[in-house]
Amino acid sequence: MSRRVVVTGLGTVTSIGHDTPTFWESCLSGKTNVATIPDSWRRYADHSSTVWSPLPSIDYEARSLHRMDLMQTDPVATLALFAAVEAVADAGLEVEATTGRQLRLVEVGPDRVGVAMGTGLGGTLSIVSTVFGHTVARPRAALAALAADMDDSEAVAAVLDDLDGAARVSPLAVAMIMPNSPASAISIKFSTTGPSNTYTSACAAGTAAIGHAFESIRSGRSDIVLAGGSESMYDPYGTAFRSFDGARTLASADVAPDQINRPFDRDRSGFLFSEGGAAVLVLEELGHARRRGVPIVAEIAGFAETSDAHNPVATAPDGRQIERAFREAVAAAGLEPTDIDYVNAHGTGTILNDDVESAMLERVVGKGPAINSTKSLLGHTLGASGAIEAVVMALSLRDQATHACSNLESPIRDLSFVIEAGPRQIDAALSESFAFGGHNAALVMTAIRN
Amino acid sequence: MSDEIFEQVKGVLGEVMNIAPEKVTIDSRFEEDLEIGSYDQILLVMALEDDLGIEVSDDDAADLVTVGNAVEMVRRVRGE
Repeated sequence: MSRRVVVTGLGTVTSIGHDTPTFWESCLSGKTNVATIPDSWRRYADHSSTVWSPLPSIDYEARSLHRMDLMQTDPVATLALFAAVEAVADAGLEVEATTGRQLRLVEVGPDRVGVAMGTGLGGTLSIVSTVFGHTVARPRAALAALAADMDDSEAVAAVLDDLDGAARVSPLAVAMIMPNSPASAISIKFSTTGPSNTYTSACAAGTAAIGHAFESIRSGRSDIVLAGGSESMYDPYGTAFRSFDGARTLASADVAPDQINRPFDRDRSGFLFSEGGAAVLVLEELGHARRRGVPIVAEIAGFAETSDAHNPVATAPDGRQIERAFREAVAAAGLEPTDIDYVNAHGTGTILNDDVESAMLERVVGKGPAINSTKSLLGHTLGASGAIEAVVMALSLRDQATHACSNLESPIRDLSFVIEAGPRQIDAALSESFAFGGHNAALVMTAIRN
Repeated sequence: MSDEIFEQVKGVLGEVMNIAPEKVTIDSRFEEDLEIGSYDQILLVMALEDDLGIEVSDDDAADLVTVGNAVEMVRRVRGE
């Protein structure tokens, strides 16, 4: 019999909660966090969308992440570390300090512990800051020197203000930009020496990372994998925001900010840009978890991936490959589509995604399962989203409850969207993620079966 | 002034590298005495740049062997 894989620990940092209990409480109470984009971004472009979901200030010291940790990592990795520290503690894995600032798992052999992380963009802040320091800093200094000799230096001073940025390139820039930095940071922090890998399939990356971690444990390569996703899309100039805005993918309707993010609603206008976030799940072989005597949150039962092979930025309108991912993940779990009680949808709020996804769900499961979109609360966290939604799926199974689809007033299809948060019997659930590039991934979890 | 810079370097070594102040003398060697390798020396220089408001070039940061070398580096960058 193949090895079974369970979730024993959760760590989450999002715009609506910096730890998993707070985040989950926010989900169930329908809390959102939508704000006007930073003024500094408006200096560089005129945008169609003007809102985002920012991360509140994070107390890294509270998770024993100190200055040295922050100095050598981009926010995409520090967010991952922040979530990983919570997940490891939540799983009851005892740690002790080694030399320097590293930790070691006390009762688990490091060779049997892996890391699998997803990210869409990697170290956004580091790459933007590095490009600035490398290409703009000297011309800016030259312009400042010229301005000193000009009569009308006020206009030049305004240009210089717009060219504000650090005039240096960190020797660690490459290590901070590289997309594998979240996985690397976690592996180094916890001194784990099993396989450590990164999945960069954009918005499906978090789901893919968890799926491959599941397969790594099931095949016997690892006993524990710290798996999840991380994304940080802030930089002082709003570069990532501008790109998504230019592609006309962001929510831009002329309504109140807290009404603008509305997946699966007839009045949706795009997705809400999130600053980012991270989630890490401790995946563990069932027998290993039982020997440790720790509570089990849920079981991972199936995983599948497909590719649209259609378009870099748009999901295929026929939905055939997202349907295949759904069906194959369910089959891998030894289930039928009708066994799925709850679907955590990709649910971005873009016109095309929600139309294609809801049509697929109508074909495959109809009005059977409850359906919600965690992005209706958080906005889109790209490579972190699949991992955050896996946390939601695990907690929904543990607590037998689902959060609501925020702002869903006129559903685009007659499906069982969750309008009110509350209790719900769930034996099996599925989370699906679709990405720029045509990457599709689906993960099935079940309530723990003995 | 060098004494003040020495105290600042010692402070950064304590905060960033977790090195007990009593272990640090002006003659302490980074690698042999304080177990601070070349990667951590990069972090040390970055922290000094932030804390002291200086910009250290690659040439300035080259050949740091002792704490005294780091103090000299800061003095040189400041033009003292």
